[in-house]
Amino acid sequence: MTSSERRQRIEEICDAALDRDAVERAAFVASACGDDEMLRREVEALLAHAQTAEGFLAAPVALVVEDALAGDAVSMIGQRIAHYRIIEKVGAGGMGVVYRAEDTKLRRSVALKFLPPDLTRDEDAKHRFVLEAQTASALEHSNICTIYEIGEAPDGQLFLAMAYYVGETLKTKIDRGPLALEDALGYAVQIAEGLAKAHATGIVHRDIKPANVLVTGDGVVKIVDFGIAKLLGQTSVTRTGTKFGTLTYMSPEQVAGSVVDARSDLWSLGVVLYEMVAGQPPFRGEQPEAVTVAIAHAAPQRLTSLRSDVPLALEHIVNRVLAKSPNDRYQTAADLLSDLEQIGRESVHHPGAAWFASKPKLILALALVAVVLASAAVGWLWHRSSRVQWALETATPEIARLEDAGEFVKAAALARAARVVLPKDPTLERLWTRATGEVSIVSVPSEAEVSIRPYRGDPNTWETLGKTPLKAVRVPRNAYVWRLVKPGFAPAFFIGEPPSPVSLGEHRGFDRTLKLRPEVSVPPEMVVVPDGLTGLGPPHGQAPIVQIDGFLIDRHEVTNEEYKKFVDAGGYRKREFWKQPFLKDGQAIPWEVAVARFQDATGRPGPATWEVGSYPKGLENHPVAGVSWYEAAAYAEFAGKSLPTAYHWTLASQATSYTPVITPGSNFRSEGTQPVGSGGGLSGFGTTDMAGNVKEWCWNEGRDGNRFILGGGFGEPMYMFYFSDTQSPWDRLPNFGFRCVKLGSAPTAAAAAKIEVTTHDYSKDTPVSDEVFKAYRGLYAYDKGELNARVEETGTTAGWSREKVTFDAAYGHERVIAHLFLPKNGSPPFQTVVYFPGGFALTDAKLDLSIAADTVDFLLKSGRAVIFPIYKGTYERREGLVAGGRPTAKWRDQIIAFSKDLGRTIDYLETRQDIDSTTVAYLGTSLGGTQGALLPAIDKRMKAAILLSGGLNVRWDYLPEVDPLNFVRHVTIPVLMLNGRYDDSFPLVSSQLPLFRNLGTPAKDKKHVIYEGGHGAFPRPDAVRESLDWLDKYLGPVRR
Amino acid sequence: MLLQAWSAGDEHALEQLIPLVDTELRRLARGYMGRERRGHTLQATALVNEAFLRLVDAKSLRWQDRAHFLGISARLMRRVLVDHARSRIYEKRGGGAHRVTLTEAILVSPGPSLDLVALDRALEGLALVDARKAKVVELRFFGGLSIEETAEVLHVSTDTIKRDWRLAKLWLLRGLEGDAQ
Repeated sequence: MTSSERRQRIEEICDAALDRDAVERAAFVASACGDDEMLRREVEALLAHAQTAEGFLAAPVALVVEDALAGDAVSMIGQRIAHYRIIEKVGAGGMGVVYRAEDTKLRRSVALKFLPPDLTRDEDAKHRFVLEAQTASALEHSNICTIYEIGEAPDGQLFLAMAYYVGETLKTKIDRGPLALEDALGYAVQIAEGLAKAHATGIVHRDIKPANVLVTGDGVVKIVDFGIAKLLGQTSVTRTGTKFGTLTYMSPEQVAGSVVDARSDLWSLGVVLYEMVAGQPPFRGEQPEAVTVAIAHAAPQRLTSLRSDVPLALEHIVNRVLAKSPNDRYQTAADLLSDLEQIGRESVHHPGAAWFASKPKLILALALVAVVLASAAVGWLWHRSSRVQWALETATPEIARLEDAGEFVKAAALARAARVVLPKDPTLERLWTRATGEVSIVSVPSEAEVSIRPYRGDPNTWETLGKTPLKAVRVPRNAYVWRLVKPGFAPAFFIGEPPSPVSLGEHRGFDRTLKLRPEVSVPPEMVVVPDGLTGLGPPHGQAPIVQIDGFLIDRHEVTNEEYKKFVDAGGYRKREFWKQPFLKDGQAIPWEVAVARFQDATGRPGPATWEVGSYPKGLENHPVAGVSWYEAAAYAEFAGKSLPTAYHWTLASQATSYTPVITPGSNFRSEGTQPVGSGGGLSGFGTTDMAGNVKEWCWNEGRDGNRFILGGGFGEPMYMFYFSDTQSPWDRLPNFGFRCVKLGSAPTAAAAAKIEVTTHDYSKDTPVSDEVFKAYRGLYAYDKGELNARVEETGTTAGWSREKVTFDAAYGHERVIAHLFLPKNGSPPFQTVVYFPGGFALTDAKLDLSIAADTVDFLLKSGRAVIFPIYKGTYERREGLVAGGRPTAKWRDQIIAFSKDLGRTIDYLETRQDIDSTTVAYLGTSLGGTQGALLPAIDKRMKAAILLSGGLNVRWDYLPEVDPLNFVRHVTIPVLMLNGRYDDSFPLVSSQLPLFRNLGTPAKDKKHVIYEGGHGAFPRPDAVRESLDWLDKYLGPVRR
Repeated sequence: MLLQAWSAGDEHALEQLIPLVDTELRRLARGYMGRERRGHTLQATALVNEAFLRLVDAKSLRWQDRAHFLGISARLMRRVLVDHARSRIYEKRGGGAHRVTLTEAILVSPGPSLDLVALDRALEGLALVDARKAKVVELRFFGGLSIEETAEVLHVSTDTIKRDWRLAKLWLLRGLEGDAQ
């Protein structure tokens, strides 16, 4: 195919795919592309934008009329007015120019609105303005923009400091076309709520219009400019022409120049509501005069004639609001509100809308009854209204705050209470949905009681949700242990975190069907794992997905005590237990010879960690450690069980979905084993210690005759729980152990298959030319805008102090977070090490500061500062990316963002007096080690790099513009690489060496240390010594 | 006639037409400024249409030329607005405040987070492989033309324009990946 034919083909598939819904789309693309992998990738890369494309370029480029003042406006940027520093202009209108500014005292963003100078030129006018603004500033309501302060600039210009919200005006929304009915009603309700509050305080807005209504990203309405219209003298049409924009929303009495009251605001709200629904205002005309006439005399075109989904009841409400005489309108915002809410309840959510709409008289009658009842219960009403006030003004903002802070359980509890008082409140409903996730659970047989407890909570406190089948239950977002109990059946457990709208796709769906096992068939030391589909963790992430039938697995790793029974029963003497052929380097080894190798420390048969045929005293409940795969297999035979396949093991562990939940309580960081089940590291289905303690042998063969050994062990990085490792079946390291399974029937061929990583062999690749590299490098460039850096919190210990800082990212309106550790053991300006974490950071919810400090305490002790940037897509800034580099385009964006974040971090270091920004080094582990082949090629300010367990990543998909191979030649700083020889993620020959050899660094300034171990497993004292020597050599001695 | 020459494929004709249209657009923009209050938003298409009407009077253009004119105006809008966006970036980087565009009177508001310079670059890339799709975007976004008008200008069916528009946006977004600032 020529490239244009290919392009045509891509477009055909995309075009057809776009006609299908998201669910069908993937399958369609897969079938349309057949075996053509490249074609599929291209199509997917395009379709990845399908959703964005809908809103993209949706409206033609708009022009905003400005005037010469705009020139002045530019020069305001960066100026200080009182304690505000002006950052950018965010809007301009008849009411003045608005800037985003930083409140340098309170360290928060504010909006500063400068009023047109001509309106406040005499002292009298100024005085009146200040009085009015003070009254307005007393308004506190979640739908009213908060005014912090009224101030005067040195040149006499008055300004208002207001809360700064990220969002857009209703005007911008309407400009894009009519709103969804639900949204329009939701906004109208919120505007009415704000107005009700203001009117109750005696303040009339006088200029309600879409441009004065902000809608935040959460859909919360904020009305701006309360009471200011009056001061600006815009309540009459004396200055024809200049009022055109506002005229549209003016009430008849306003247009006529009569006295206006709260009911005029309601009219304006009616116009806004009409426009949201119809996409055009009710009273229009080419000339202001025509509009004036229409407002005073014309009946608006019927809403139901403009849009088919408008309930008749809504039209009635709008007509009543737009009654020409104030006396015919709703008299208070609260009255309007209750009718609007009624529509929100009945018409939009309820399928019987048509019936409802056709029976207005009946509703009136019902309303009358309600009024009678209500007046009989004023006391109760009063109580209710204070509850409503609590729900609106106390609970709602608090829920939003909790959710922003990630405290979903607390937010959900509060939302649950508030929803009782205010059912169907759109804001509350949105917050509730955000704080909770939907779960459905089915069991076979049904009628099992489902309970949950927080994963990190009291193991004995269960909350019952109901009996299966459970359909679409909403549960606060949190990691839970789930339990199904039914008399006569074995209880079933699993770990689950309900997916939320934002994290959807991050976890597998939460729709579970479990088969319960009869109680009698489950031995006490085992647990049930239900049927399931599973793949393997990286670097075997592209191994086939396999269906596994339900099975039983040991609750604990096989203990020393249990293993001793095998030894005492003559396990090492009885040939019948040793059914697997012994192979070494392809050669068969006789049984006698092989078993003779499996000796303990004293030369007796037994695990490598034992002495004189028994385990060390007191370790009976520890897992047996230091056994080969052959010994594990023989024990399983003895016990009448089998070794799990890697698939059975992975399914049981829930490692691929819940690594970050499970690992923190697991034994990775200590120097040895701990008693089984003691650490609280509960893994899937009621097992313990699948994460950490000892690595567990699995059945499958891997590359070079190795066997899988999963879950990681003490002394290894935590992500080894999720990564899949293979080791020689002969090896007996002190963190090698196992557990057994009982299968209903022999594992399928797919589950027991030999699994080899078909790794990309970088040793055969050639990087792109220098010209192409230069073009790629352009993608990483950014403007060195202001950092607007802030210290958010500080902490201190005996050895160091810590600052959490944030600064503006090089893209979007984001902030980079960074934790800066400053040593007490040394004097400023400090040498500084910039850290880049492993791939774990992509899935972990938060950087654990104590682990971070432990990881680098040798650097702090050496008198160096360390900064941990929270790179985009990691920890608190994670975006649901998982290791593996897919989708590739997103991964590319991610890497470019990594680079910009690193650059901004160094920009930030340069601003600090206590940092010597000429001596900055890079320290990356794993993913960070890979990025060490790229980042120093872009940012040349680092003087040395240390890459722990790094390599060119052989399993992840990189587009060429972010493939470290194409950058590594341009890394010219001194590089120290520390690696394990048996690293399955970054194999020595195909990954580590290509990185090392391709470095542009002169040979004398690079060093590769290879330890006898796997990924991340090397002796810390030596690694520390190497690292410190490296820094001493290339950054120079530390100031003391 | 310059317009016919341009529509016949003479890019040079465009270069000669641009000053005419540019002058007219600036004049109109100033007019709007006098009439409208600050902050008022106009659609490019309104301005362009009005400019055309005036030029019809002044230069005795024929009504049939409207389609061509819309094409030119869209191109011009794009050029002016992208230049403006560039000069803003230049200013931000600390360059002089030399403002050379239509935007003496008018600020551009391309919507949140849309970088006109990047969009322009992506459009250039698209034009290299698929000139018509790039033209569709130019007419729709910079010229403010409807699907029907775009179809009229490009002499193809509205279905084709709809398809082009949908796919062009995907290609552009793909082109903009990683360029996002």
